[in-house]
Amino acid sequence: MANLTIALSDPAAIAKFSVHVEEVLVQRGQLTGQLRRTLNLEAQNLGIHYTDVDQVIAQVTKLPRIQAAFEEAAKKTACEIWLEFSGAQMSSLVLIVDASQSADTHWKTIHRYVSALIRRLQPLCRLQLFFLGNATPYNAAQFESHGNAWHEENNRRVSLITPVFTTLVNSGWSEKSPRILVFGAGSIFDLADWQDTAMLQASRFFCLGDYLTDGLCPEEETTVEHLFTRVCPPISQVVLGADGAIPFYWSNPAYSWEQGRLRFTPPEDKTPSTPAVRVRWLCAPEAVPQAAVTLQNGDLSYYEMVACPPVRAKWRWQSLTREEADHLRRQLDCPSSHENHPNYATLRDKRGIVLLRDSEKAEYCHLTCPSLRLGEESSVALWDNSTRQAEIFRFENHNWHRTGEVLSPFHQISENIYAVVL
Amino acid sequence: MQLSSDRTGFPVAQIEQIGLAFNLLPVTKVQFEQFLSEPRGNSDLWYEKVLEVSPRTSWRRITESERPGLFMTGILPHEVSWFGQWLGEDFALPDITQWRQIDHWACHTRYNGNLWKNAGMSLAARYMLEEMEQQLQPQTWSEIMMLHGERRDAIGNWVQWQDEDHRDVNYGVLGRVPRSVGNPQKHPPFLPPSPQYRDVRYGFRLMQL
Repeated sequence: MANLTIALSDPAAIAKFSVHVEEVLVQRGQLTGQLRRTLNLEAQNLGIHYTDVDQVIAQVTKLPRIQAAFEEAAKKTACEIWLEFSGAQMSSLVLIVDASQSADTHWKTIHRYVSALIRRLQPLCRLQLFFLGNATPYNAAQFESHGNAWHEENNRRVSLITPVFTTLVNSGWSEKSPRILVFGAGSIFDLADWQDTAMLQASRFFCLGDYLTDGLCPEEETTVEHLFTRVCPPISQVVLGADGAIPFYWSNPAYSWEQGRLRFTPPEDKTPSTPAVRVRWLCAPEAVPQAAVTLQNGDLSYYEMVACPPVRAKWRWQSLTREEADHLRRQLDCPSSHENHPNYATLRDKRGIVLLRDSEKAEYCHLTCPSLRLGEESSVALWDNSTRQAEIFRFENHNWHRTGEVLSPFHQISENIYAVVL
Repeated sequence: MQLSSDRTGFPVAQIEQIGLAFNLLPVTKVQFEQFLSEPRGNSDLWYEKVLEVSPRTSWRRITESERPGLFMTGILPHEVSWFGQWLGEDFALPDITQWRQIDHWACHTRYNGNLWKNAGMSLAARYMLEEMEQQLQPQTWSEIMMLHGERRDAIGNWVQWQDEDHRDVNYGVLGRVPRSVGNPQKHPPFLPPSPQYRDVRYGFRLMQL
């Protein structure tokens, strides 16, 4: 401690330091309310030479007092972290387009075909775009508008795959890396140089002319629809979670909490739906939520969720009818009538957790994410779509535990807000 | 002899005895394709024309019979100059005297494969030389350099020389190509029947000046 002599005498420096510490810890998902308070106190009480903030943080977080505060906080409070599953993690694709002279007569078809495919894939995949013979990547999102100009730019190049494959190899392509789709017409002259390589095996060739690979690889003639299904087989289910992780908010209401995990199942009526979601997790220290994606062809893959900025969501309050408001007030005045969840016509089609507020007027808020933090930071009620109950979880000894309790009717959240389950 | 590599990762031999530096191998298709992958005017249609005369062999699958397909033959002298300018300002076709010196040195110098094994070459160059060494079991450098007249796949080399009045540059082929060019030490360069004549046996290597 001796080397950390008092240097943070300037209140502005202390404030700046505290903000920075908070930012770093939020990024690491390590900041809890208690820890925030402890750190603020420590930052003021410790003398810290304020030159290199990162070094200071490294030093501060190693201090026994701070470590003890971390451990104590971790025992009692789960870490809060925002993680995203965009769906784009599921598949990354490399598109290689033939803009050479040998494909000139088919360019319009190639352009139309690739544009349509990119439109479909863009929301679901991370796309990289190249032209044959050119090592430079292009922005796939601009292909539809810039494709013809890029065709001119690449038209005098020879149909060679090596420049693109070499770029991919140098950027760390591995067998687990994205699949490669090649669209063209006319021979790719150097394909044989990649025979029996993982990269060629990961490649699919779509011949829009008479020939493309000269018999070296299977060539596929297909429609955009068929190709889309081949490249991105429909999702059958996405399951998010980890032992020791509880979702406190999720941005996509198509997900529901079932059997200890957040689950997404595409609607059977084939209405468009995306599995993209941002989730606010309350996690035990070792819990790392991940996404398990099952495709309709039966393939199951696991993907990391990535850190994302928080979503600012507000409760949206709506009015109850005058009769319902009167009834609510009578129920609130009479504790014995708290035994049952209310049965108001306005709420008839609502399922999950609903908040009721009795202030100047009586209002309700249907939680699109039926997850509710109860009192201190250590209890959460989650509506389980399969059991149709709001089960209560408690964080104890570094982990979340089922309490076996369910949310009781008119559970008081704050002075005039109550939770009910429908 | 010292070996280094050019910008394509293929070996350049520097021979102190004769004071010359040159591409050890005839320029290969995979080397030339590095040049072709830049938008300089050589299009698919041009390359298809060359490959009709000189079918391409992949450096990953070299068989004895298809070995000549590794090399950029069937090319015309002015097309060679495009590549030369791209490879470096100091690269050019050899003249007759230079070629004869190279030929003489290669036919009379014992092969030593250890020399190229540490020359920092590209994967394709190393792979190619290893395969060729195995297949050819060279005794002298002329064999691995594809110069040897007793082999059917020997490749002739474009050479250039100026008229006596130094006005025009002439191009011809020197090498020990059977039924075509003959012994470069005895015979003058072979003159192709027309300026647009492409021949699978005519390739090139460049001098580094």
